[in-house]
Amino acid sequence: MRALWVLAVLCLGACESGVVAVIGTERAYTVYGYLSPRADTQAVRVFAIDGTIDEIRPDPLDARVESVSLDTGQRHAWRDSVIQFAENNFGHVFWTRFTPAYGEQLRLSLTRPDGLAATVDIAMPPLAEPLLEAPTVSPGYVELPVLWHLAPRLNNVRVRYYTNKGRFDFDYGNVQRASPDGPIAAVLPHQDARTIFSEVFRTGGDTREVRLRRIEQFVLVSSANWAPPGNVFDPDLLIEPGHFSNVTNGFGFVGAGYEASFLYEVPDSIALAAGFFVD
Amino acid sequence: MSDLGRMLRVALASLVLICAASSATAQILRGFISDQATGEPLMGVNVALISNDGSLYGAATNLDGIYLVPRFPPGTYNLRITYIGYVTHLDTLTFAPQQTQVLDLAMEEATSRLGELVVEGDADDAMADVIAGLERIEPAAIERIPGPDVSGDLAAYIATLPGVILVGDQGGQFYVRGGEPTQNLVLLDGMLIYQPFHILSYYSAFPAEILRTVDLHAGGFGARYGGRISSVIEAWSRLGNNTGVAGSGSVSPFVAGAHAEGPITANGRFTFLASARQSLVERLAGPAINQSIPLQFGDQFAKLQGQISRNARLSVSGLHTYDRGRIGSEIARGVPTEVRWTNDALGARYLFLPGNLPILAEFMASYSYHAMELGPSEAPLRASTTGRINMEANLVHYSRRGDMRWGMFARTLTLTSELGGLYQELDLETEYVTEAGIYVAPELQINSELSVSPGLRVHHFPSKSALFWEPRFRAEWERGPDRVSVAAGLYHQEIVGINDRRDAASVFTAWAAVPIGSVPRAFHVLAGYNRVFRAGWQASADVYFKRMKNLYIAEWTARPRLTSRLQQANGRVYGLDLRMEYRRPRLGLFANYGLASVQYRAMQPELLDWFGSADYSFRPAHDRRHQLNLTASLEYREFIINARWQLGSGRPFNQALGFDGFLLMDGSRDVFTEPGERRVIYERPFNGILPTYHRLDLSVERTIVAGPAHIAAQISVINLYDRANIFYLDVFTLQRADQLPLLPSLGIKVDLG
Repeated sequence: MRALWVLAVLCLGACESGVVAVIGTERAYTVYGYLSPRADTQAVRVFAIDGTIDEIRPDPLDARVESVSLDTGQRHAWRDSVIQFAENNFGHVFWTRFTPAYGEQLRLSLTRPDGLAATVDIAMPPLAEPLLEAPTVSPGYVELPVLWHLAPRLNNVRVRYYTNKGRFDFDYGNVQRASPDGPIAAVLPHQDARTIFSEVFRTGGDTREVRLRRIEQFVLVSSANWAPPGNVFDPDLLIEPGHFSNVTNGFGFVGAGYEASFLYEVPDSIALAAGFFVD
Repeated sequence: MSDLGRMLRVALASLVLICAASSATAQILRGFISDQATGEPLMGVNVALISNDGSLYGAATNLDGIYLVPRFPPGTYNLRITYIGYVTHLDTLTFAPQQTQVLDLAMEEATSRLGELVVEGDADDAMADVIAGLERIEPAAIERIPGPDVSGDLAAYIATLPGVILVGDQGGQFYVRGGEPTQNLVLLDGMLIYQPFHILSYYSAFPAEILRTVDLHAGGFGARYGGRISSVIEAWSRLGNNTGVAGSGSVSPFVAGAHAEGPITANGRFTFLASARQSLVERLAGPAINQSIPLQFGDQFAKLQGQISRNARLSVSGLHTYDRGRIGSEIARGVPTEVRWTNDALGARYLFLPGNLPILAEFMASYSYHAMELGPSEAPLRASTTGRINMEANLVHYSRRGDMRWGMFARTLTLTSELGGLYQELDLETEYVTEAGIYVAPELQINSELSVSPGLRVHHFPSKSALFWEPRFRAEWERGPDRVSVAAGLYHQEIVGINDRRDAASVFTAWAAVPIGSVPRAFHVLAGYNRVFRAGWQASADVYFKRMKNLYIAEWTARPRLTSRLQQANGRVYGLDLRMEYRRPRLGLFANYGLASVQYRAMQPELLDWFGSADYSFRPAHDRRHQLNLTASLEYREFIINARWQLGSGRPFNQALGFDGFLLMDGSRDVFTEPGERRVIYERPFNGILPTYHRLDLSVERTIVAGPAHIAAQISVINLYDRANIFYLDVFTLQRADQLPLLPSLGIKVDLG
């Protein structure tokens, strides 16, 4: 009986009590960024997939990053830079000097020392040409549709109003509508005029004397896949692994795009219809 | 208000009908039966009136020791009052028409007369005596469980029950048959206690010295109870000794405590009971094993009660508890997870037996307050307070074929939360909520073997314009040694406790009135079989099923630590509880086995790409599939030896694939300046299984008598073979926290009076 007791105690005491919390993944890296045909330096942020959530240390990341043009075969090796964002907060930015061509197809690969690699195929958007389509004008309502000819997609649409009272900026988000020739992003001066008048009034100006001179629309002409689900960049949604990702055997998103703008000299008839003062 | 008005009209009409019916009642015998030595009420005493022609009219005392025999013809009867372990009382009573007689009796314990120990057949503390999920827990059973303290505690006992899951020995979080801790209704003398267990889970707010009885309804509870969807723990404190002043004091490396009780008036009609405990674990037990146990807690309880007239009793109870400790992962870098909470409760209970009516009326008023904070005490990161004023009336109308139980209640709650960005959907600052309702629950004695209790509870939330109809049903069939019982019911919970159960060690809970979506509800159905064998054997089996809807769970997110959002999930629980016990005068052997399966199902569209489906189901952290408790209690010479061995299969936990980072690519972000944030890449929820849990606790106690004092010394060992049982694993830092290691303890308790 005593032997049985001792045996039971020994068996139970020796039972496996270890636990594995992080089981690892065969995915190589997580990478974020975008490539621009209007920049001479290209850069992406690279995260290793670590075993703990400890802060990233300022040690070099042992990754081989390379881009290759799928059109010309030209290769570029990317270099690591350790960036300090804040105290004890470092990050790895891989960069290289070259300017991709409009419409060029590229492949970015990030390879671990053990040979495991993550890759991203990136399609540079073609050079887009902004064209103002026929405005819709009626008293109190003005819509200025701007067609971005050949652009795959627009992101980060902003509008700036140049008036005699100063400049006023508006964020239009990703609002656009598709057309066979490219996306159309509309400007709504009558709607923005109310905000402008409110701001002028708040700063003690006379709202009856606000003259509109020019409107400038800024966009990020983007690759077609730079489109979030539901057309909303919701951080709580996009943080989920695998969501809005174009990285093969890895995580993250690498887009392509460039900033562009369209400047419009506003005729008196349109400024008047939108509610602005004209001489 | 129309619903509330309709409900009140129904209640008043019911009252009129019942009173009208009662007025037709003829002769009544009623009274109060207590223990002669202590004055404590005795529950379950059989009172029988036997006429000359052999007709039998009887009743049993309730938990207050009150009995009432209604509706019997005038005449002369032999009175027989019996209770196991006590001297039977015999008398002859003659009743004139319309006469009500009051017979109070202080029963004499048979042991004191016979000079021998009466254990066999005394089933008051039987562990296997379960009626469709309802177990009545007596202090004697609590004392049987070995613990680190010479005084017993309800928490240690409850942890041995099948179907009750304790995720660790810290945090005070009990899961009953798949339900969450915040879904348990815990009452002490009718007062709601929001956080009834201390931060060191061996201890509840209710030391054994103050307890008279505890009813644990693990499911299928009757219409009297509502507002929670899992279980009910209803504790009643003792009245206090009415024959003389008594008290006790105890000390161990874990806790020091004392209690006192006695009569306030010379005739013993008014008594008091008070207790206080203070933890010593941080100062004594921790250093003794060279390990930091940063936990502090304490509780104080006081009660005054009195028989204010022949027909009425009044009691006033108050409780204060506090807890403070560091549990779980760091909230932020270098900021430990210190959690603090307090409970305050004050309540009055008035019991009234109208002179000529076969009615027992209970009126209760109470105020419960709970406060909880997370983070440094000088600057808490999260805070939540809850205050509740409760008024209720419960009536029992006695008749020969059964009792009509019904009642009504009205409550108002103030809920305040400062969550600092936690649970983003919530706009919680201060909420005011009202509740009102009625219930009716007749207990019908169909024949000598079968009793049924259908019930209906109507629960109204005027402030939320919500009305719930909750049918309930309980039935019991008993023949000889066999008993079969079934229960079912529908339950809603409008005031919910919100927490982040992704982390099993997470204790912080904010209370709120249904913040999003629909009201959580549950349907219970269960059946039990109980058999008393010869020679001290008793066994029971309970099967149960719960379907739960609209539960609040933390949304699955790759954001680490305390950045939860809420979502609603459905769940189902099924299980089997088996209990067996063998009791002889000096030996008790108890075996409990629980088999359970808990599954939650939720819908989260953002998981579609990662998991391949937005609809996902998982086993929550408290889904312990198998649990076995073996308890032995042996009296050997002057020693009482108690041992308990627990075995629990591993609980689910969250495994991660790794950690990376996240940048929101919502435009032309400059990767040279954008810091981004860290991210955890989870596997599917709760996909990992923690190691099996098992532990052996042992205690040896000896009591010596020194004059008026009984001095008990106990040597106990927690975790005798020093098993490294995991409490939680910080998946972010890979730091593992284990439950308490081998921990010897010496406790001394002195009883006076």
